[in-house]
Amino acid sequence: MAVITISRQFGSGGITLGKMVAEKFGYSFADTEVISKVAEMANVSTHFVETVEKEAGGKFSKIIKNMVSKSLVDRILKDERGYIDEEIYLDYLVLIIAQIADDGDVVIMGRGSQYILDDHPDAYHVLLINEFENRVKFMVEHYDLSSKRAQQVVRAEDKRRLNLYRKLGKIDYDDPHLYHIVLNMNKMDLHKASKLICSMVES
Amino acid sequence: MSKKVLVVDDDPDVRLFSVTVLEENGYLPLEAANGEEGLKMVKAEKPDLIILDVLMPRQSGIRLYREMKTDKALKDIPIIILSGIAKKTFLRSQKAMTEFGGKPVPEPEVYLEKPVEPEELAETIKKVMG
Repeated sequence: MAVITISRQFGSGGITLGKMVAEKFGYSFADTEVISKVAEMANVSTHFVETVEKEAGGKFSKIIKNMVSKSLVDRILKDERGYIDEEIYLDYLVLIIAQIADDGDVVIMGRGSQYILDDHPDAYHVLLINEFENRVKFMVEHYDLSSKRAQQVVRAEDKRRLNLYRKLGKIDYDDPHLYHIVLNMNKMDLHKASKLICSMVES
Repeated sequence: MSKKVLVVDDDPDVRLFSVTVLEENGYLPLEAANGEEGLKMVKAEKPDLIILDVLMPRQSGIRLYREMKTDKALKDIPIIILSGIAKKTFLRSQKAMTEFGGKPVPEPEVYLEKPVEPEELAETIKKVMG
């Protein structure tokens, strides 16, 4: 009934690795599923949740929180039946990750899961790191992006990660003390990384 | 005068269930369909007890629970959480919310996992209301 959380510097191969580990153990893999569940709970589209997540702590949420009434937001987003802002996003995110973990046998991608499940008895927390250039290269090779586009994506995702953790009041997300294992993906390939995680969980 | 009990749940069937149990046991039920509406009613009506769901659109029960338990004027109103979410999951989520900078909140007076029998709910309400 293990739970494996994978936090990563974007472009370190976290999703690919997470899927490999999940497949090896026959676990479910929770990444976009978390967003879908948040959307389901808040009764909004996944796109709306993604916007809140991407802009966490940013302009969009500040506008919503400080200047715009919920009814006006409702009118602007007239196709949305529910409502979500940063606070509601966080409520559901925390609850969903806790629930997914309690169901067990799952690999969860990021989103603060290493904090939420800090003392979960069955959880293993993994951090992947790599140099910016290597992460760009990974995105070019695995996601068929141009080098320029890959650089933009990696930078944007690094910013999103920073913003999300700021929202959670955390700046130490790359601190090795939070994790069972930190893998430098500059020094190993995905298969080696997968083997290390699997042997840690199996031991 | 009958004691007021606020039922906060987005599911009308669950509200009907709780309201029926309350009426049959001599309480005055009030209803709200989400946390936002619930908080307004709590402030306006000052109920003697709240039966609260966790997962609701617009504003979750988590937010209502945390706002109430950190509000001097409201923190002593007892809350029975009645939810499909397991108790241990709820408690873990509360710990994480505190970890993320929220004020620490006490555990709910009672946590009941759905489905619950009417007798169990009635008994629990009586116990909590003293």
